[in-house]
Amino acid sequence: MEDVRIYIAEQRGEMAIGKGRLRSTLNYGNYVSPHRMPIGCLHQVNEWLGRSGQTLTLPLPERSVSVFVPLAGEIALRTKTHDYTVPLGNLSVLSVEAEVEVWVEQSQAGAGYFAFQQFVFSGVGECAKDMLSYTLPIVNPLDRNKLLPVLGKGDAPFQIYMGAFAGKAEYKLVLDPMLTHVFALTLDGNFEVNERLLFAGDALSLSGSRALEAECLSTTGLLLVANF
Amino acid sequence: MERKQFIRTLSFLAFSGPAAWASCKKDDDITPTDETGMDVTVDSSCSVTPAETEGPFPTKTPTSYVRSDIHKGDGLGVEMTALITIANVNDNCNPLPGALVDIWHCDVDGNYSQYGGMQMQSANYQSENWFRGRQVTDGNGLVTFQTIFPGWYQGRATHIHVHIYDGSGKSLLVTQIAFQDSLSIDVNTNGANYGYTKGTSGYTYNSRDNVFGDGVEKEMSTVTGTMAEGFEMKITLRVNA
Repeated sequence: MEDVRIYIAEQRGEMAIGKGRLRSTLNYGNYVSPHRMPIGCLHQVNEWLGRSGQTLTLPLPERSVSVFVPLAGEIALRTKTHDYTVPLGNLSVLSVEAEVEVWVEQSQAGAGYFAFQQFVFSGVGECAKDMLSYTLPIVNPLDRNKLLPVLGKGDAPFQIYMGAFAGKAEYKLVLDPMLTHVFALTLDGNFEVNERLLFAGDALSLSGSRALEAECLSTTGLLLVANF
Repeated sequence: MERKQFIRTLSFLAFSGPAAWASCKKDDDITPTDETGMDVTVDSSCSVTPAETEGPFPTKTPTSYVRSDIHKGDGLGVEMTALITIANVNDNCNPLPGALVDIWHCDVDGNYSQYGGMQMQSANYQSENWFRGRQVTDGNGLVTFQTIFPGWYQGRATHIHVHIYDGSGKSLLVTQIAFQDSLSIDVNTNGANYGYTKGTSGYTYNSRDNVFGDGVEKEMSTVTGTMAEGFEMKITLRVNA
């Protein structure tokens, strides 16, 4: 039976971090609600915003896989051993064995702030040991109005789909029958997803669904979907 | 102020393309956020929205106006979609479905329908019923109204009245929705073509408003869009149900 839950953007946990800000869709830090428990192996859905010159410290749990999607500006990720750059329009996947901290800051000076979305999957098995980076299929007009896979096949035990929609367009995404959960997050614009209305920042989780039907209701919209 | 700086966002990348980056300054100048401001302070904590007076112009028979489109029909005003979500504080601020939501507000000149011909409002609109409507919240606790950005009148900041009932008709909350001062000033300064001809002389800012002056953060709406394309107003009102 399909299990459906909506996560309203305005009801996210919000925490000030210096001049920056963290918005948590699921339980994180001091934000705890029985309605915001992990969804399967998806344990964290966080939107981070930092100011120019600020370094955000993100603790990553052991045996977890984190996905980073810059929303504004290019970000620099630093661990004790590596430095990575994630340009706007890219998505990066970082797998860690032990509990570590990752430091995130603005990669290029200039703009007043940077922002990124982070997903943390726990207990999903090991991905590649180094950072994996992908280009989001959002720039090419031929990719419009579709939800396209971002990760390479077998790169991770989950898949991320991304869609850049223009106008009132619909798309039906057939989900992997081997995966249980799907989580749709509206990064921008308004969507109807499986007959639920989502505004920017809203999210929808479904379990046991075989397909996800998305319709963009705004002039333009960005929808990210995780299948796991 | 971050809205004054150019930030390359994912949406800009997706829908403008890399070629547009070189000439991005103009785009920055016309972003909707410039017009509506980013300095709205919204308190989204899970606590009951303050109750406010229903004022002297409440809807006389709300059950008669179950409708989403509450336009006056004179073509004046900046189009605005009002998206109001009702949340239940007693249920961890989850959406409250099945609630009745009445709203009413004034026209571009600051007049209310159903009233008039009196000292408080000389223009007589007693036989009219525009800018009044009732909707029932859906499964997401949401009601939607198609209306305009309200005008203003002496002694008050721009506002929309709201009365929320549960499904049985029991009153849960009477309150008012506030708008950012900068937005109201902008509309009433630059919106003459839309019928806002009163200007801003004598306008009451939120901090000096008798209703909002004690704190407006929990009643502050978030508005996006432009006067040309129309506004989208969102707010979550929290009740004990």
